[in-house]
Amino acid sequence: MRPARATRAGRTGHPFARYLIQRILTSLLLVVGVTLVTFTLTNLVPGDPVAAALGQHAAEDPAIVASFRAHYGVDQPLVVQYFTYLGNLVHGDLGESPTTHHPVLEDLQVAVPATLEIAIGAIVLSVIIGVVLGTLAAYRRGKVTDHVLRVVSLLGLSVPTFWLALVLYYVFFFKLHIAPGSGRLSAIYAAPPTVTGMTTVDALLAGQWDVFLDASAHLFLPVLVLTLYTVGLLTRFVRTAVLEILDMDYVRAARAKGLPGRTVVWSYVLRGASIPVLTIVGLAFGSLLSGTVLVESVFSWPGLGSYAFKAASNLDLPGIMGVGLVIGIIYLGTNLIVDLLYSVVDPRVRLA
Amino acid sequence: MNSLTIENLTISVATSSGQREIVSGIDITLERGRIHGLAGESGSGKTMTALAVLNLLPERAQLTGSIRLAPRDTTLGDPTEIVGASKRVMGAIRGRRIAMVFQDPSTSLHPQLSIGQQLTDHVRHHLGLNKRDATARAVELLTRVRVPNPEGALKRYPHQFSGGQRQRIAIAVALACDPEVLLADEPTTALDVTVQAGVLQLLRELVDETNLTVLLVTHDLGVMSAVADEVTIMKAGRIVESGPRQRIFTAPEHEYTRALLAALPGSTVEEDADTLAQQLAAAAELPDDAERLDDTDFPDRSELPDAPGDGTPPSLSDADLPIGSSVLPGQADLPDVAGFPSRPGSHRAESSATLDISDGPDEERTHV
Amino acid sequence: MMNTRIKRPRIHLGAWGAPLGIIGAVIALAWIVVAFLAPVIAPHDPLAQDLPRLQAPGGDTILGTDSLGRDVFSRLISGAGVTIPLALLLVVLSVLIGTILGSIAGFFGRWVDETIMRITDLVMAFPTVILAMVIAAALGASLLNAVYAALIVSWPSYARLTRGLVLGLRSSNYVVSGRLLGFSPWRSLWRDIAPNIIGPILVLASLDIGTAILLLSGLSFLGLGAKPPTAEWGSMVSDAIGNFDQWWLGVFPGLAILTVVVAFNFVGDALRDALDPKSATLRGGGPTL
Repeated sequence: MRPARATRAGRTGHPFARYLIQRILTSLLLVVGVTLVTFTLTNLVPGDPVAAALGQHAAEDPAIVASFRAHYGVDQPLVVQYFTYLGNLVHGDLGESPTTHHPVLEDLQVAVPATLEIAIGAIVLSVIIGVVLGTLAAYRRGKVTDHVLRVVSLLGLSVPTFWLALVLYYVFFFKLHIAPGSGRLSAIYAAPPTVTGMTTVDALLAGQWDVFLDASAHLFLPVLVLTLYTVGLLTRFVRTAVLEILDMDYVRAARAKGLPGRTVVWSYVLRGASIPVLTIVGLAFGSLLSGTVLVESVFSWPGLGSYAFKAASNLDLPGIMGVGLVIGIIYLGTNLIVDLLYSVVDPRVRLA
Repeated sequence: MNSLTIENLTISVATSSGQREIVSGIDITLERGRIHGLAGESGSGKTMTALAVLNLLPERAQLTGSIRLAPRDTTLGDPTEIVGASKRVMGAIRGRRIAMVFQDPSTSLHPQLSIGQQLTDHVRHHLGLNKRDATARAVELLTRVRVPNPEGALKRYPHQFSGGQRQRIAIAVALACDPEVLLADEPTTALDVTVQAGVLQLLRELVDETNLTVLLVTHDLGVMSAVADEVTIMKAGRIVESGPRQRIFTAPEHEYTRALLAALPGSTVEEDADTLAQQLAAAAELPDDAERLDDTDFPDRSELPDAPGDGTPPSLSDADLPIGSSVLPGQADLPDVAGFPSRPGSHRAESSATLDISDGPDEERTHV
Repeated sequence: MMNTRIKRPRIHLGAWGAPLGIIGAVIALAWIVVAFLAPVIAPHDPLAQDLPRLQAPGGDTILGTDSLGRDVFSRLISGAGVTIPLALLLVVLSVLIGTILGSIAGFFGRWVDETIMRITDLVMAFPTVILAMVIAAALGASLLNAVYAALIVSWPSYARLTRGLVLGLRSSNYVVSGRLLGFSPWRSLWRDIAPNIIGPILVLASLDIGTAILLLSGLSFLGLGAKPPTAEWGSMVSDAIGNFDQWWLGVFPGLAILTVVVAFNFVGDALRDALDPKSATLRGGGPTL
């Protein structure tokens, strides 16, 4: 998650256009790289996708195997298969999943928004909590608050997410009956018309308040589990970043100006720490996506993690490729957003 | 008339090996409308003393003694004690009655905040001005410290100015609430020699015009001899010698002072003081003193977009600097201004230029 | 100023006074001892299905029995012997691969550097669990395959760190002066660069042991690691899903993971403080004014 290196390179053209072109080029390269890695991984390994997809019995029938291979194009040499895949990709065709028997693109259109819904919820919550706690810890450096926050954030980093998800599910759903069960909506509600694919947003857009509340309730536990880990990470990091900024001359200068503590923290200290914090938030978003796999499997959340798990255990090549592709795109999107935010918070980046 | 009185001030810090005294029982009296120089080698405790006046020492530092700030008008009551003062009391003093200028304007100005915001936030807080009035005041201040194109400067960021201009801006920030006392901590050390004279000249003018009291902390006796009215020499947390500038520089009583003066680059103290005084005079004559360039000294003149061809020296103010041009702000400080005798020690020009380069966006991005 | 620039950065273990680090080290060591002595101290055979099923904790068994009549406490203890050594192995291998590739990239630069760094970019673009999951699924479910999968995703952070450190040190005063004095590059690699890399690597590795345990048990939880009879903490949690009323089945293995991971994280955090006074507490930091 580093800013583009292009800044010094060319002198011609608008800096932003130059930056964007550079970004798009590296993005294409990474997407090709990601598909290549996924493709190689799923083909160079001992597992047999045909057996995995058809089951042992059908896999022993040469006719069925041959037709399966022809249908999914796995009778071709690997290089041909890969370029066929890339060619189809350009037309927006990601192939058909032997696991779900749906076009992968359709599957992903459901799975990606479902995952983004929890991931975005968790990252927003974590940033707010993490920045406040990290700043507090830095200001109370060496005092009781700092030590307590250190233990709490290290605990947050150490809890196995799948276990925490189960414990919370057990306590809030099974015992206390406060939280709704698994899935995205209770059975009594029909899903709102799909616009973004995120149930909460779609319910709001359709003006269905009851659906929105139910969807939010279903979001609560998965988001909470993911937040805990990320908060631990961010608190520790923000503390370090703020400590470094507190040593800066401009913070001392701001105090010498007699500005109230609140202004010093918000305008001077946090603005100063914003670049390293943005960097770690971008990285945290990546690790958060990792966490979704385990959390989704506990809450039966039909997201990217569940889909990747299903595809991986069935050695469903188009499905895995699709997941790899989406992850590459999410990674690049995150990078782009972080880079744009750099230029929002730092004029030196903006004018470079 | 006394403005700030420091009495028996001791600063000590808790270390792993026990309490260590950094400043031991010093007395300094600042008179209104005078520049009081506080000199000493690094580690002598002079910066700590300045920070103590604003109660800005690190939490671990312990203060004893007394620092009293006299009211602007003696009929208004008793002096305010700063040692042990509450947050509320200090909040009303810092920036409002006692302001500070730091050594390096490239670190003391927030790189990510506009000049306008840094010039107005404390003004609005202390003086209760609305945004428009505060902005008007900011323009007035920038004009007073002779930053070109003040309205435009408000929307710019520190890295878009040269080192000298940045320190002028920092001085404007300090003076924004019309304080009684200005603490200047090595205000010229990070600057190129030619720019130093301009900044010192500005300081002198402000003192003469507004009855400001200045505590000028420096290790540079040359700077001190040029502008200070009173001089205090510190060594290892104690005061070695104190008195009027003339007396200290011509008839030092203490061996340490004599040694310091002997170490000055000029052959004799008076000569050195004279040289700087000349520079000051020269600086005063130039309209935008050090920020001017002599075209013969500047090889890349033709690359400057509005370099006039008629031989008049182009003024490299920030307004002329196109964004992304090859001219780094620091280079504006490099060439000697015509009529400025090159002082020994002008190698600082180089280090100041490097500083400005390392300020640039590329450096910032590498460790992101 | 001058002095600090020339002086070599060193590990100041004397400053390592953080009590949390000591607590962490004690707990971690205790778990490691348990891991090694598991076969001796386990009261029952962790695989034997010879006890009454789904017994609550207390009575004959300390932590109850599972749905197949196995002793939860014995399984928990032998689970330590499964996960902890594998996590340590994983971290050691990641450190070896990562530091070697990272040093090569940093030391030789140019296209070698570019190639290695682009590979790390690529691997790091994937969320670790998803990539490890795909690899583990492709290799077939087994604990060792889970370690291989985890290894593929975990070496790049060491390569990055090492490369950055080597690049920084290569231009530092004492390495440059060594070169001017005519010392061979190998001498500077071993005498100047290696000692300075060990510290940060140690911090990252100690924090990574926890991550490794979480990753391995997570893969097992998904059924991509340990195979059924093996007493592995992640799969024990997974086994508990069907028996929510028997809380002890899931709670204890989870707590086991939590305590081990938190112990290693305490150690790593304290080490980081000892090595980086800036982020250290007052006690660890020493006088900085």
